[in-house]
Order: sequence, then structure tokens, then C-alpha cells
Amino acid sequence: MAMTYGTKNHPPRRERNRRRSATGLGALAQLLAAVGLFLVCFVGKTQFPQQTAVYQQYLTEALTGTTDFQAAFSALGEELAQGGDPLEAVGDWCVAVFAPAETAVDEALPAAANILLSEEVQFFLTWDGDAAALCAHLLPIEE
Amino acid sequence: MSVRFDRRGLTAGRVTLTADFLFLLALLLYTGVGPVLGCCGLAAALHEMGHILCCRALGVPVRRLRLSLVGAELDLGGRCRSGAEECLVALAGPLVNLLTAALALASPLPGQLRYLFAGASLMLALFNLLPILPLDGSRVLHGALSALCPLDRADRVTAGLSRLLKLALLPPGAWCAALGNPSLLVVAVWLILSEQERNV
Repeated sequence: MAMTYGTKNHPPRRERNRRRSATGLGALAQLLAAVGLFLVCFVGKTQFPQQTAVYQQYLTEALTGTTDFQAAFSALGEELAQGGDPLEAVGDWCVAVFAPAETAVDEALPAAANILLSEEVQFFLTWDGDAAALCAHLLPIEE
Repeated sequence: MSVRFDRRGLTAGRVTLTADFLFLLALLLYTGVGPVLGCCGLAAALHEMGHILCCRALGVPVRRLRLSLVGAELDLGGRCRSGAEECLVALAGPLVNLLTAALALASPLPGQLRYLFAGASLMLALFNLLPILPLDGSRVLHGALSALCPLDRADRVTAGLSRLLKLALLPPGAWCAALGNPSLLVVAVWLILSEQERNV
């Protein structure tokens, strides 16, 4: 029987070939699995749209989360088409895509707070000191 | 043109699609982000074509185009001959995107589609101009530095600045993710993984 020798850092050729083919087979299996998954998704979506719709919705929400990428890109293009400031348009895009989810809620608060503040200021400017009127005004707010 | 499966991936001619890229493509197609995927894909294809055409014009050989989870990578046959050449090759992609964005806005295509494509092209160009490895902006910086100082110093400065900017993205990315939007953190992690894969 023939003996093959190798050095410490260079195992025998048979061992190197065995490792190389094992790595190649693993990568090939990974590739075939990915191609198969691609075909399954494609066929599933075209042939069984209702069954896949539920899982599609779940994955879409997981991927897009709070960011509507299509709307963000479209808004950027539209703002530029209308002659808007490019820097401002890019800034708006960055806010739309990267800003925390709570930013949209926080921006809505000041508007509502301003309306409430205006109403309160208007009331107290016209208030004639009647306690009953004050109670009637404050109670609905507390509720 | 031959098509073959090997351990690199699915290879047709000089274009290789890796397994993780095909998986991502399947996932995106399945979730129905078709219009965005189409426009971003077209913008990316035009971007790479810009690099390839510039390489051809300057006589820089292109061995392979590899599409993987971390993005598109051009495997050049050798280093660029000068810093100016490196800058030109790196700028070609973003310039094509800026040009196509302008053309899209001026075109008679349906409104939402051209806005979407123009927005995607513009952001792809601007994102790639960031001086962060492995983006084109870092190549432009490296090319400019290599014309002014020794190559090893240009390598060190480019790598150091890139590392600093990536680390700087992590805290705001983590903060935004904690508040419900992981997009910035995903971009930061993607940039870190992209460079690591290219160093393997």
C-alpha cells in the first residue's frame, strides 16, 4: 500500500482533496437549497396566492416595519421633480427611513397641543370670573 | 455563455450569484416589495455598468462581478495604475446613478415610477459616495490620498477613517432600533459585515 506524507502545515494531498471536496459539496448544497427556495417562492406566489398571502403579510411587516421605502423614495423623487432643495429632500428621506418610530407621533403632538392651548387662552381671555362656568369648562377636559 | 454551479455560486459568464443573494432575492420577491426591488435593482445594475465601462475605457481588466448578500463586488484583474485612475473608476458608478436620476426626472415615464427610480438612483449614488469601506467614496479617498502620500499610508488612513465612521453609526443605530426603527443599525452592521467578507 502506498504511503503519502505531509508536513505539519500541509497535510497529505489526499487529505487536502478530501477537505476541498467536502467544502465544495457544502457550498453546492447551500446553493441548490437557495435556488430551490427561490423557485418555491416564485411558484407559490403565482400558483397559490391566497395561501401565501398570510405569510407574505407577516414577512412584509417584519421587513418594512415602520418604514415605507417605496413612499420615501417616491417622495424624494417628487420633491426633486418639483424643484425642491436637494439637501432638504435628502434630509427628509433620511428622517423618513432612519428616524425612530416615535418621531412621527411626536411631530403630531405639538399641533394638537397648540390647538388646545389656543382654546384655553381664548377661554380665559373671555372668562368673566364665574366659578360655575370654570367648572363646566374644566370638567370635560379632565374627562 | 456557460452557466455552472460551483462553490462560488451560480455563475453565468463572468457574473456570479451567491446562494445568500438568491435567498434574499426570493425573500424580497415573496414579500411583494416588487416596485422598490425593481427600481433599486436597476439602479444597482446601472451603477455596476458604470464601473465596468470605465474600467474598459481605462484598460483595467474586470475578472468577475459577484452578487452576494453584502452587495455587488467587481473583481478587478489588478490594481489601478494610479490614484487618478482609481478615483475615476470609483466615481463612475455614482455618476451614472446621478445621470440616470436626472434623466428619469426629465422623462415622460408615469409619475410614481420615475420618482421612485430617481429617488432610488440618487440615494444609491449618495450612499456609495460615503468614505466608508467598501463603498466607492472610500476608493475615491484612497485614490486621492495615494496621489499625495505613500500607498501604505493611504491604506491606513482610509481603513482608519472607515472604521471610525462605522463605529460612529452604531450608537445612533442602536438608539433608533430601541425606539422601533432598526434601519440605521442594519446599515451599520451591513457595512461592517461587507468589509469583513471582502477581507476573508
